[in-house]
Amino acid sequence: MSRIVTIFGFVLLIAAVIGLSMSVFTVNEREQALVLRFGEPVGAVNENGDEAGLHFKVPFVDSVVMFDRRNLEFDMDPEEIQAANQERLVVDAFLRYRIVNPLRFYQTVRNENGARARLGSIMDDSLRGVIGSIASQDVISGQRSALMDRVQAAVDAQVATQDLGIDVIDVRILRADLPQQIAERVFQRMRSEREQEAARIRAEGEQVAREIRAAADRDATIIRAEARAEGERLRGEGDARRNAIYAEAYNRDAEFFSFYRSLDAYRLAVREGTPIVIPPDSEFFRYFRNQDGGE
Amino acid sequence: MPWNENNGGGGPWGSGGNNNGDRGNNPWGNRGGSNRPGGGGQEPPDLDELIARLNQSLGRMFGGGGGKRGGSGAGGGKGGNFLTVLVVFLIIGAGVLFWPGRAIYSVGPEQAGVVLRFGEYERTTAPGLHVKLPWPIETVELPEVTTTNTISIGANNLAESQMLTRDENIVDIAFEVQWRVNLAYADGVRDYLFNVRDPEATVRAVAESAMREVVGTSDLVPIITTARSEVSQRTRDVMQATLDEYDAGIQILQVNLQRAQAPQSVIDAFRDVDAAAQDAERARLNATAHANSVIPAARGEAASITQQAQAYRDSVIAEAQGQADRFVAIYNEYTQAPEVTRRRMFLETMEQVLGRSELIILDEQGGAVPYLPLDQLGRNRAAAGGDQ
Repeated sequence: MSRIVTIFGFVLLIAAVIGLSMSVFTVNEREQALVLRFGEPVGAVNENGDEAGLHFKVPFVDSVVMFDRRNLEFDMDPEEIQAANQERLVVDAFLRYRIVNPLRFYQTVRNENGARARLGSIMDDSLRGVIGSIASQDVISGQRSALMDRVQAAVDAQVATQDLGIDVIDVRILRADLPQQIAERVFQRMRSEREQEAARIRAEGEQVAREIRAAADRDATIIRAEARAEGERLRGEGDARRNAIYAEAYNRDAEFFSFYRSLDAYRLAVREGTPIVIPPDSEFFRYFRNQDGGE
Repeated sequence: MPWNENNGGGGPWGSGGNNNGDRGNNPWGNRGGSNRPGGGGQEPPDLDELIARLNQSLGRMFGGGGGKRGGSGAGGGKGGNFLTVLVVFLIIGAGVLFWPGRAIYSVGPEQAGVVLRFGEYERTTAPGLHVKLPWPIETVELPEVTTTNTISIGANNLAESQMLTRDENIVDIAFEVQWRVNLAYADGVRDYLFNVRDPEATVRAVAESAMREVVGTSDLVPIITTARSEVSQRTRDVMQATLDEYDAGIQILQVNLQRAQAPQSVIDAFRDVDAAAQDAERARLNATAHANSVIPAARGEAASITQQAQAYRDSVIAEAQGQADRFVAIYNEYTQAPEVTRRRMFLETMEQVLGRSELIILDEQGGAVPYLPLDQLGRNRAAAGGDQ
């Protein structure tokens, strides 16, 4: 008899253990839970991140659906979007979100797959709306963070309207690139820009070189000219000095100088064999006819 | 072995299947076999053996007792066996449940031990050996917090590496991000574990987005030349700001630009620009060389011109001085006896001059025009010269 009691006791114990295990559930720090009673939501656990731990439910009656409560990524597929200036861009963006209202989340999108589908169309819509209203160069360049803010605002608005139980933390544009055939055009332009740059640098180098040569040639010419000027001055100085010396010497007796110098000149001017016709009554032949030298 | 099976998923506690923990939410399932002597895969044989042995000894005890009391020996033996099995199961279940090995854990030097009680954060423990309440009450997670992780982006992926610059050029960039768990504030490890799903993928996405944002606000030429470190620094800052906004518990240590150059298909044109700079430099050097040769040559020529002029000046002066001196000397003589000297000088000169010329003495008083065979004169003289 006591054996039967013992067996019954064990069975009871096991049933208790099983029952207990079915009436508690743990919620990890990373998670939040929605408690459903026969499918009807009756409560949410750890929505705010402060209720992680052991929780109770009614066995068989309540079921628990778990949701992540971390910062989650939604990465959309790259899309071609037309900017305001009709230029097409390949845009790749991602979105970070957090499930903040598990009940609404469960009711609207059920799970993360549902959320992804919904967020995909919202992102697509917002990106097209925002990028379609600005020129492509603004998408690419400095306005990017302002642009991302605008996309996020658009996404926020739609998420709020649809009441998805989601908080959009951030929208970031990963890539906003030109499609391949346009990229080829960019490469062409880059090439020709570089070629121009190279030509400019070469021309400038040539210009500098010419300037240096010209300056050097000019300096050389000036140096020569100055030297010639100095030479003329020196020659002039010499000539002046010579004249002064001659004048100083010859001025002692101008008449004698002209006599002396004339004699010198005769000697030099009359070369050998020069025929000279001379009358016999000249000064030289004074004694030729008459020993007294008279007429 | 029900507990072993439960270890893997935590099934009865209602959290099974939804544990998206990528970090091993339940370390027992992952780690038991490897470094915990009492855990996981080693248990079944041990337990079987243990049960068999216990069964034996208990059976002997109960069976023997029953036999002594004398009752229905065979029936009692059978019931006793069933009970025995139950008891053994419960004891073993409790033993496994409260197995000391499950209450002791060690934290490696690069790790932090984050203890969760029923999934709720309880405490963080430093490296070393620690005690916790046994599973399933407390579990521990051991993230590597001091390890530096490296993510490389664009190294061999064209779609990742080509980025548009502000001046609408395309630059080819490959970079590396070094990150680790942010230990700068107390809850860094907690944030890292619980706030963001897949931290590595998050860092990667944020890195690429940040780099493109920074490149999109800079011009091509600075990026590939002088502003490389600035690009890395700004990317790091944008990444850190973004991750802080996520409360990701991640610290970006460094962003290294490994490659920042013009895309492959235009790189020749870029190299030609460098070549052009060298050409320009060479032209300049050649011109300088020309200048360096032309100017000294001119200086040399100038020196020779000046020297020649000086020589002229000095020689002219010297010559004049000599002639003047000669004149003065003669003049001084002349003043002693002017009449005689004058006549002597005249006669000497005339003698010399007339002595070497063809002298024709002609008396003008003759009246007739004399015939002078002038052409003959030279010839006679030349013949006379030849006869000599």
